Amino acid sequence: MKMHILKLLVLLFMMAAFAACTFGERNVFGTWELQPDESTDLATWRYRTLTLDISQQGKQTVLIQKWRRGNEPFFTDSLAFVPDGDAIRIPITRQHWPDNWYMGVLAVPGSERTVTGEWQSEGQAFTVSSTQPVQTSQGEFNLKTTLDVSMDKKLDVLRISVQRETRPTPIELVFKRVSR
Amino acid sequence: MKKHIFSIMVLAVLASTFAYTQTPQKYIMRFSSDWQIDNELPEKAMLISLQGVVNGEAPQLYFLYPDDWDFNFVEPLYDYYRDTRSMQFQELASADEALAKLANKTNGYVVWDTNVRTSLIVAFTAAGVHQAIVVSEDLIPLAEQHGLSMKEDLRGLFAGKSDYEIYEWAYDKYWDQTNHEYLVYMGGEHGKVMKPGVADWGIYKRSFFTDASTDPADTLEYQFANKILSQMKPNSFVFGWHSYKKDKEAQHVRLTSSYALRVEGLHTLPNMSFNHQIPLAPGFKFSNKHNVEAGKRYIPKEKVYVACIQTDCLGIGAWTKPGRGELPYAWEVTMNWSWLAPAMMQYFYDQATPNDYFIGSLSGPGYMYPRSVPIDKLPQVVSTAYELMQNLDLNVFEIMEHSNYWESDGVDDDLPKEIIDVYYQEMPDVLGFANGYRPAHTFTSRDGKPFISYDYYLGEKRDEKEATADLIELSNLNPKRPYFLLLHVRQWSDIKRVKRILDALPDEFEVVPLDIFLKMAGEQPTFQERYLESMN
Repeated sequence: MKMHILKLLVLLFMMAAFAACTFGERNVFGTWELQPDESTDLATWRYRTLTLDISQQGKQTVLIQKWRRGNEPFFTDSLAFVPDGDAIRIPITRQHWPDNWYMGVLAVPGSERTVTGEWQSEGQAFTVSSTQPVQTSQGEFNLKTTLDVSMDKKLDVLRISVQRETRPTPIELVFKRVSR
Repeated sequence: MKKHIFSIMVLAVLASTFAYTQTPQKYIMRFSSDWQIDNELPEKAMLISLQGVVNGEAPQLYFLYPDDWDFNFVEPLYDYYRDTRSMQFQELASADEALAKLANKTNGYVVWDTNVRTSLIVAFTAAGVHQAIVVSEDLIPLAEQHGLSMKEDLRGLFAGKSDYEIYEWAYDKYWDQTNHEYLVYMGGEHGKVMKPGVADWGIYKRSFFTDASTDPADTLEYQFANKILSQMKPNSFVFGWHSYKKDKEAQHVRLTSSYALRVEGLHTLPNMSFNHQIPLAPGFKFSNKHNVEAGKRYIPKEKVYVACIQTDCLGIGAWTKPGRGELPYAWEVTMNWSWLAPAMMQYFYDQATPNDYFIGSLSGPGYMYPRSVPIDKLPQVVSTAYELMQNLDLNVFEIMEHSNYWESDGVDDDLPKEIIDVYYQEMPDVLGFANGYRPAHTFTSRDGKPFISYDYYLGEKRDEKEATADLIELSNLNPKRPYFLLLHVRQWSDIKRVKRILDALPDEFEVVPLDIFLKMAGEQPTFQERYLESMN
């Protein structure tokens, strides 16, 4: 009887270890592709697609948005943060404001985007906040944006909720993993 | 005395009615949606060429295009002609019947090679030169059955040749015999499909047809395009449209603008050889639905003011769709139709509700990009546009600039001060200007006349709730009040959809007619003056 219990415990331990290893690999890092049909309409301008690379580079967690038109790279936008660290300042070099191509909003070259962030669940979910000046018809406006990034482990799906303090409703984006 | 005047007027109306009824029999024919080379294109191309030739004598042949045709007013215009011009049409059931009735008004036929699509484009040029119809090999027996003889045979001539070589051949053979005021770009769809709706007009005008690439990377075709454009007369027209396969709209219009030529799209523009000859009703004057009262000041409140403009030409959008008249709407007018197709233009003015306000477009007296027009030619270009506006009772002008679209994708709709100066100088009595296509970022106001760029592009596929959220967000990003939000509506959005989006906005928003919007913006311009700093 004791032998049976022991075997059962070993088996349970092995299953738990296997699950732990599997879930350990299932983190947000990797390349993700936007699923437009499952996401809020992003108002992409003509045939553009979006992929997202999330990586850990030293202490920094880095998100790189890559907009493509067909097979051609078109625009790359990046965010980075150090959990519990100082805000990271990212220089703005182009006028494109990719968050919505239909609105009369421009980025301000020569300005900076200030980014902070923290993990809500290590490797699985984080929040990143940024502020950047944007050009509108009435002049510059300091725009604050928060991204809640979380992973649906079962489906290998990444969900991002984008909240801009100027927008009445959040933008919900769904990505599927392309590669780890 | 009054009785005499009345009698003269009655006589004039009777005389004009008599004149219509004395013209040759008019015919209509219905087209299906099949424009495949392997299917119905050869027959349709033949019929459209027949139309171009026979309408040279008088307006006789009008085609009813299918519902999915770019220009969706073809059937309503046909009804309008019958209702207001007492025109009577006989319907033709087949190509055979069309040739039976009308082939004797042509000089013969030109054979094109169904194995070389470009040969049809050349055949249209030849058809204009010879005043002949175009036929594929399979249609030769039909043409001959109706007494026609061959004028040209392009079969086999172009096998293995590039479009550049074919167009050079056509240039050598026909250029000197063609009209250098009306070039036709027979572009648009490619491959096994062609939709040559404008070919009748080109044949009627004896135009040269091409679809030579205007992409500088296509070195030879680009050189060819430059060669023929440079030989057009000043202020001339480039009808039709660029090839969707070879180049981009922005490349096409940039190149034509660099010669100060005016684009009149599209390749599908239908029945122009007919419409061109139908005059305005006696005594008719173009009269816009103005909302601004002369001498009155329009002081804005602490609100968000929205004005809507539908672009992309009057004839390919929401004009015939549900909801028109329910919302103040400005419509981009294709100004040259006032003389190219006067009754067709009148049709739109006659139908306009008090909420339909017309504006001049697009950048010049035709579709042009002002940054590409040589700066020494721009004053004349703008002045010519202003003359058209005055005839059409228009006092707002719209500008679109995409000279570097394919290089700067996303931010290229702006203008430098020196170009805007020309518009203000040459259009002294306008209420203001609208600018852009995508959202643009050029703003100024002079003497109460604002120059305002679009702050929002309402794409036809944009989710309605998100569109409403976009507009609310714009109002938060532009916190001063009044805020003037100029909204570009793509032509595929009908007004009911636009109304649903705008109805969901908070009370702070108010949709107003464009002319009142501009008057208020001129009173209190809360936008920041901004110009394109460099044209490079």
